[in-house]
Amino acid sequence: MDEKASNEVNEKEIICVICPNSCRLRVSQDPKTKEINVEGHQCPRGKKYGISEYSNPVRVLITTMRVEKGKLPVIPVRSTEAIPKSLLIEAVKVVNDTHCLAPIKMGDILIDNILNTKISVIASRDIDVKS
Amino acid sequence: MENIDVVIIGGGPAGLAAALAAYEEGVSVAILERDHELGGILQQCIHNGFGLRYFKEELTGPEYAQRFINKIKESKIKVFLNTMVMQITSERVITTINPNNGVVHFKAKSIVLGMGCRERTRGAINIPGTRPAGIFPAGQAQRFINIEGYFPGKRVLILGSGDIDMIMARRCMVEGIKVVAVAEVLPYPSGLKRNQVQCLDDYGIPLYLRHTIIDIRGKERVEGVTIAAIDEKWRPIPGTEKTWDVDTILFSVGLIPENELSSNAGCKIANNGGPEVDEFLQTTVPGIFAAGNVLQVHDLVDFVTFEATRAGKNAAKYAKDELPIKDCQKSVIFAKPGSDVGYVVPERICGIKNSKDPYEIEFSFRVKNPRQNIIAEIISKGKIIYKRKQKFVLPSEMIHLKVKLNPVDVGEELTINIIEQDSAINVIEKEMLEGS
Repeated sequence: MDEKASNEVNEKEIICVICPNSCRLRVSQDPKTKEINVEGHQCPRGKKYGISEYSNPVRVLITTMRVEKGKLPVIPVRSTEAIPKSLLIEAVKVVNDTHCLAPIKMGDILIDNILNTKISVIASRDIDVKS
Repeated sequence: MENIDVVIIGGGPAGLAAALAAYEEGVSVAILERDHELGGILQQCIHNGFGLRYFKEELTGPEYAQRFINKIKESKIKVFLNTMVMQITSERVITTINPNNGVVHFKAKSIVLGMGCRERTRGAINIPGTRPAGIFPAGQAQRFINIEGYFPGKRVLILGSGDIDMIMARRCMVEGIKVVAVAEVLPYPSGLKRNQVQCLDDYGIPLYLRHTIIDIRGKERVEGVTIAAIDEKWRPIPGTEKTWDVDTILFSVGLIPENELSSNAGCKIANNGGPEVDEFLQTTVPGIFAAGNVLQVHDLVDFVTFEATRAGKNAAKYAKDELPIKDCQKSVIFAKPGSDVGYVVPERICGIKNSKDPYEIEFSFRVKNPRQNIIAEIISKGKIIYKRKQKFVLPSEMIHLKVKLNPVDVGEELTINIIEQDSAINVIEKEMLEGS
């Protein structure tokens, strides 16, 4: 009885955003063992997301960076992995303060180890030099 | 006049996939694209979430496009950029214009239409108020920010809760543009749930359902906006008004398949705005095929790729005189939307009548209302010839049915219905379904 009651207190409903199925997850933490329990997922990625979103929510950084001498003035960039949600806005500022030089290929590392996360910011596409 | 086996109109996701699929069939292929680069709308959709079905990994829009562009570069597919198609005839003569060569004609054995769609503008919905600068379709604002590199404004209200609206709401917040609210006339968000979670909830942007804009202030530039709740008849309810000072209003109220070229070529246009096609994705004009958003507005680019791959392959087969159906006008069975179904693609089926074996058809359609625990069924000659259970259906999520139908079961037409699971089936049928 006690176990059930305490589970209800720390249970969170999280909508999985890994794919468009949008599974409704019920995530709770056992107060004794600290084990995180996920229900309502349809795939292993959903379970992983439930645990991550419950304990340390992360998001992929998506923005644009200024390009010098490029065919276009900005290039779309992303982080190679999701970074902690709390660092997103600060990370965008770092990207905005950085410029890169054309030509650029998709996958080129434009910022290494952003905010000491060991995660890089890479180019999402090629940009040729302005002719 | 340049002779080419398969000409692809448009170099977006549909055109890229159709071109590669046709090329793999060993025919000559050309892509005609009006922009200065390939990729289409993907180039401005810089967010991630693309490719989970097709590449089995999560990519951004530009990455998804780049993978196809790199393949095109390795091939002998001819790409004509900055090239506007002015006309397509039913004999498949294509008139184009571009700044370097002026007017150029192409003669194609077959054509794939991949022009995509465009946004409905403010004029398509009657929003009251003044008409100052600062009112943009969401996709146009997306292009300004993500490709051209400048911001449309500093404080924004967004009308519409489709995917692009919610993604633009997040994009604005990331760049320090304040989004005061998102308003939606429908009682539910019209985009994917995950976009509501990741784009609105993450940034604390309020979503007002059953609300619309009742006033826009400002002479030269937008200065403010007022929204209000609406009743069942979509009339504003007095006393529910909310007003903000904003300099920009973004809205998206739907996409229109871009079919001027198609209808001029003689293609019959169906009720959903795209050309009527058969199971080979061939329009009512022989040798002209269609795929992607010009045919039906998709919610996932992966499905555009799958659809366009089929269209490209079939167009190449037509060019080689290998398509099983040559005359698309004869022996047609019509597929019709039934209860709670908005439209069905393909609308016509040409090959089933002469088939001796079970005949495979891929249907795609949308439901009219969000529902739970439903059955999608296909009815012909008054009998249920196919059914499938589904837990959730949403108007924002296209349904795909790949079915094998027995030719003897099919009459002059077939109808796709969405029905309640308990209303129409008896116990035996229920067991049949659960067993399947």
